[in-house]
Amino acid sequence: MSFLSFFKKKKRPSQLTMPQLWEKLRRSSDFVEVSFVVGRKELSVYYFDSLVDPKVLQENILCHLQNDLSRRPDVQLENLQQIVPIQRIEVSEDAAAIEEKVLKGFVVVSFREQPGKAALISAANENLGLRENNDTENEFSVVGPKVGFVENIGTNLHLLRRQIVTPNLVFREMMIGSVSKTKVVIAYIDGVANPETIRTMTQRIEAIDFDVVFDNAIIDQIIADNSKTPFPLFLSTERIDRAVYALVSGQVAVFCDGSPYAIIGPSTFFDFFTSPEDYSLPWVLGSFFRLIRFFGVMFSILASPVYIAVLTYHYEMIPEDLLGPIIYSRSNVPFPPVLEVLFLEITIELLREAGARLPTKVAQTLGIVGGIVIGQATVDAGLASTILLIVVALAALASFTTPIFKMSNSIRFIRFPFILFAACWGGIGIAFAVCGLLIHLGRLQSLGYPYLVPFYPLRVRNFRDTFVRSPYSMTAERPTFFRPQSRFRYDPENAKQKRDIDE
Amino acid sequence: MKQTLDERFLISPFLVFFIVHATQVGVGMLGFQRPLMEDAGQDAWMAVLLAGLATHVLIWLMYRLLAYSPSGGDIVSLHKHYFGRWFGGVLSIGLLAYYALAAFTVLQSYIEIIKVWMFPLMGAWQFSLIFLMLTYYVISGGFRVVAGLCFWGVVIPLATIFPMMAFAFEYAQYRNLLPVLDHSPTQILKAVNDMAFQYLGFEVLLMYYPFLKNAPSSQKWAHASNVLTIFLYLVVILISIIFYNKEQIAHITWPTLTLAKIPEVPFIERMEYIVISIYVLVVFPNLVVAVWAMARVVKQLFSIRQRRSLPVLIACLFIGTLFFEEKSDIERFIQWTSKSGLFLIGVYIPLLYVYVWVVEKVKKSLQQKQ
Repeated sequence: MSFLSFFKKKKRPSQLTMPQLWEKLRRSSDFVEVSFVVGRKELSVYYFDSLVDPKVLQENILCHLQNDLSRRPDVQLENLQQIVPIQRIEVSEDAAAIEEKVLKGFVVVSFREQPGKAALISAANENLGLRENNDTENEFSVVGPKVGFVENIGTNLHLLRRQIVTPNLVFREMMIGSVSKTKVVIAYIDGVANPETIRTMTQRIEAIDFDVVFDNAIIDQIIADNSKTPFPLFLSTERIDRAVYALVSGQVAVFCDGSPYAIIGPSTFFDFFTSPEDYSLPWVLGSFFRLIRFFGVMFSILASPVYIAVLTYHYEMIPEDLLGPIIYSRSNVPFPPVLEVLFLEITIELLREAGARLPTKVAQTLGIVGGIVIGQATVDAGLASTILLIVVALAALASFTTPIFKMSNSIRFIRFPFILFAACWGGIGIAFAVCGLLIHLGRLQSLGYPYLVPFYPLRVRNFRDTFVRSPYSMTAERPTFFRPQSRFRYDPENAKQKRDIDE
Repeated sequence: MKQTLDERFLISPFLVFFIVHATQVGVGMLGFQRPLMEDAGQDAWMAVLLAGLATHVLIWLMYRLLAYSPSGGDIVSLHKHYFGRWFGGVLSIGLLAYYALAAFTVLQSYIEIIKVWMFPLMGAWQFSLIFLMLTYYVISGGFRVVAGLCFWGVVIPLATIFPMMAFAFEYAQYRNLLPVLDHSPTQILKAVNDMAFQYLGFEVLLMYYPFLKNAPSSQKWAHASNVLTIFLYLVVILISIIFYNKEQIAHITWPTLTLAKIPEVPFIERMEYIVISIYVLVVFPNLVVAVWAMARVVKQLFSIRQRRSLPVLIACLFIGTLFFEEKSDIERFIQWTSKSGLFLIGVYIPLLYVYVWVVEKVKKSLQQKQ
């Protein structure tokens, strides 16, 4: 919870009054305010729509307030318990306490005749958001929470607000889609996210003219800065911790009703290679696995092109000892290396695509049939060499280490241009392709922020959480490239305190 | 023409470090040792150092000169301001010709290496076509993308190629360095003259100066970058001196590439193929920055949109590469580029500075009289 301490830090210097509190909470569109008159009493009810169980609210609170209050005009806030059949009712005058409670799903009832006082009735819907199965299936992690977003936007907002307990978490709602009228919510933390970012995101979403918004992925594509790139420009996640982390770092999240994914922008290229698990493991292990993942990406892109380049043009590069096995395994293969590679790569793509379309249980069988039977048979039939089979299988395996599915797709795709370049111009071709890739990435922007940051433009200070996941004592500062409004997530001094030996 | 650039097109001053270094180091790094050691033998490293120090002075001079240019403009607007539209325009066209020559030489000399070392039978036009197409892709992204390419062109080769140099120490003959100062000053100065060409490339600063955020503060980065360049050349020349003897080096055209043959690892041989491939990243910024400067001069001079002029310029370069493929042609182009570059930097820029300085002085004294 360390990243929530920006809230703790400014421990509210001046006392908040109740009208100010309501004013503050009203910024969020899920905050509801109902006023009505019963008998001679004017009363107001305040609550967060996303946190309160509507059944409890109607049957146990509103119903009794409306029916019983007129019969018992002597009821004050203090003895509200007499008419409202709910176990926890507290009366408070402290606006800060009320704020905290209302953010946890309490309904606030206040009478006109008793200003400055309010009754807090617990109506939090604890079970909301726990659908039969909301495990994070696609972004799985062994350690850490496994609850993910679901198709219900109310649930998602509830899940988010349960982790970010501050009124600064603002939800801005809008309707997108001329037919579907889908509810889309932009979430950000006021005072952290840059107003410029929020404005850009809001403008782009408001400008969408589309009929049916099936999923967040459609919004993602429409608002992307560049539609001709194979790379995802916004992170999409079904994990709550990832979304919370993004909000706390100053990014903006977009939720869409009917989509179990949140899209997060602006994102950088390196966001797609971090896994929430890195943060659950000790930093040494987290960094190690992250480096393995980067290595996996490079291997996955370069392995088969290098095989092609070396075997087609630069066979002088193969050392004498390695030459024997390569000749042995390739002597039966009648094709040039390019065709051999393309054959195996496409086989693997087919397996992957078939596996993704089939029901889980069949897919497993298919994996075995494809992986073992076809692979072995290909080599036996002399259509591909054993060494290449190993290379391609490893490259495929390595490409699946990318935690975000969209990025892992992009990586699988960009191997093919690399393969073609390697087939045409060998090692130089690979270098050309790398150049082209770097230029392409350098041109991309996400919500107007450079995609390759912190590498280009170089921001050395923000390297703490890229290749290496630094210990928490060093990550108190938010990444500056999103230009957050407040610099620190938590007090760096507290985190850095070090005792002398034997003290 | 005098419009100032929008801030989002500008780059941070420290990126000058990468641009200057990326433009200084190029194909020359692969084979600068031979002429140098013919003149100065084991004292060649002094020439490297002296030429580097001279470069520092010239960088300083260039920053002083550009400070005079009206509203932080580039050298084209400076020419126009001090020499009028016509004569200033002629001078700028000379500059354009120089950049074109530089771009062409870079392209051709690298393609020659590819041809000699890797693909003797493949048509050179394929490589120049890809190079130029990628060049167009970079430049159409704007100067920020060009600077980004320079960044990668410094970082990746430094991380991959440079460590390979250490393998040569296994066979080092440190006595090759002795005797120190065995050559006459004239010999060393002749070597300095050869070496100065290898430091060229920073003169593109004359064009991208307006693209720097808070440009005068970038001067320290330009100097730092030159220090890195000196360091790299020094390391390479020292390794070459201790690895080769004088007779050997007379027969090797690209000593640095031959050095790259030394590393032996169990799974790969002939590392120079990797070096040549990665060298694309070193050469590419040279070409791109030069072509960018050409398009920029054309825009400033004739107010032609870069989107229009760029394809034409690139097509001209491509057609040029089809006609001059012989080794002797390339040698001649290298000579021309070297001479005109040295003239530009060593003679023209100091003279221009003196002229501008005098004009400003005179103007000031006239104003005071009034």
